[in-house]
Amino acid sequence: MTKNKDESKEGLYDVYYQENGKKIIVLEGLNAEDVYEVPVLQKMIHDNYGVLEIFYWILFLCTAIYLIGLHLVLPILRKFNLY
Amino acid sequence: MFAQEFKNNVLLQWALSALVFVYFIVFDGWIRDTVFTKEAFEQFRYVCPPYFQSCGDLYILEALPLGYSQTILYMVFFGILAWCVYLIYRKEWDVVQLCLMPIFIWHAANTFLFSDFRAGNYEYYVVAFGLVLLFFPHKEFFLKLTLVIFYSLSTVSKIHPGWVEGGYFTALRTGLPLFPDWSIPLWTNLVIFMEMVGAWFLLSRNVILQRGALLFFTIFHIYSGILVEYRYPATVLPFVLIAFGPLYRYTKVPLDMKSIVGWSFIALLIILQFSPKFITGDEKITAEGNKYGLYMFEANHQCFSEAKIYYDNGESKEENFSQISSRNRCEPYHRWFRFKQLCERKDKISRIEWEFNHSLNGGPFYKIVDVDNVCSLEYSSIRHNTWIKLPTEAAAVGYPVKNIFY
Repeated sequence: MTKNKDESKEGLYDVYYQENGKKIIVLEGLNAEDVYEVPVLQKMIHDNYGVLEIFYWILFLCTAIYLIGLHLVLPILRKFNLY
Repeated sequence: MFAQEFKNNVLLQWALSALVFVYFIVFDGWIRDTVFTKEAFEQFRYVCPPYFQSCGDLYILEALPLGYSQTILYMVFFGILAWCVYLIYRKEWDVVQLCLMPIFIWHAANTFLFSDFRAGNYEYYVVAFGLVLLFFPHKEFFLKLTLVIFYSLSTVSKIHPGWVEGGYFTALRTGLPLFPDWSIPLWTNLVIFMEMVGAWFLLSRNVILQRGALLFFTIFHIYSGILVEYRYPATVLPFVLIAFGPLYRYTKVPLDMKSIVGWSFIALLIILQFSPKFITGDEKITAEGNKYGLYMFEANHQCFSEAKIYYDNGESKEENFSQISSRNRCEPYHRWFRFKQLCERKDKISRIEWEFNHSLNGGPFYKIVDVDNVCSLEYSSIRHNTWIKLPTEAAAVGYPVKNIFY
């Protein structure tokens, strides 16, 4: 990585460029050597994130419907002899 | 209110004692904290909640070393809490409730009205426990349900790349405590699943499932302390152990008229948790509505702000700021609030030019604010502020390195 002194701002951040042209902004207090690289498993999940997001929302919804149905709706219906 | 419920209920008696303990812990921090003092107001170091932007008029206390009023007030609270401990020993439950009332009101007002810095998720728990134990009927049931619903609702903010992909922790220099980086998504997804589904087993009649869930959440809270230190485990774990530990017994779901108060509260928690979803944009990056529900560990933040203050006499001064701790939310509102106060209370300022760049979970820095004059901007607490750009509209200005948690 090469530091670009013109783009850096003393006391706030330093700007570096990787060989592939990627611009890295290192905020004051952080270390330029700690370049962030996404681990393999995370990358795989990232590529399928949409599927997992939908899965979790469906799971949340199903859990909520099951609990509300079993512990609230059914007892209320029974109370009023509707079920 | 409904103090007779404490009479023969050891679980509730312990819970009330835990509430007193937690208030001691909270006020131990607040007694020296200067966020709600005259000094903070005068030095523009305070931030009001977005829905009560004029809270600065209430800043009258002085903290050490400038004055004694704050420490005097908190020592009065110390005396009240010590008196509550004695009343618990005497088993005078209705008087304990009365004695805790001013403590509850002060704590809740601080959390939701006096300072946006006080709106921490730990405090939400304390307010909820206080409400249930001091005001609600069916205290045992709603205490248990509140604990479980908090776990469950916290997953609403975790269905996000920070947790589903594990980006929150892989973007940290120190990673996830005790586990290798490659395994992070496994653990974060386990937590999401357990909080969303497993937490409900805490209320189960099945001993194995109930004890299994209790073991998981006990380990979870102790483990989380490696990062968040004592405050969060000390606030939540005592209640978890009291409600679901050796004293646990299955509590029937109350459906009588008296239970309406408790159910309304649960409904309110659900509405508030989902409220940011009704504001355009990702609340993790805009922070709009983010604090209306649980937001703990929702994303790993890094940001930097560059501002130039122009004075009437033609001079100018730069005011820059950066945030490298993943837990600080990088809320554009906080910078806006400071600049707005400067504009309104310092008459020599003609305008403030401002840029704000925010990165989430190791992703690019987006320039989400780029305005010529902050003084002319307003902030709405209930809808999207168009001067905050969404990542789809904002320019990516570069990539961050791994940050730190402190």
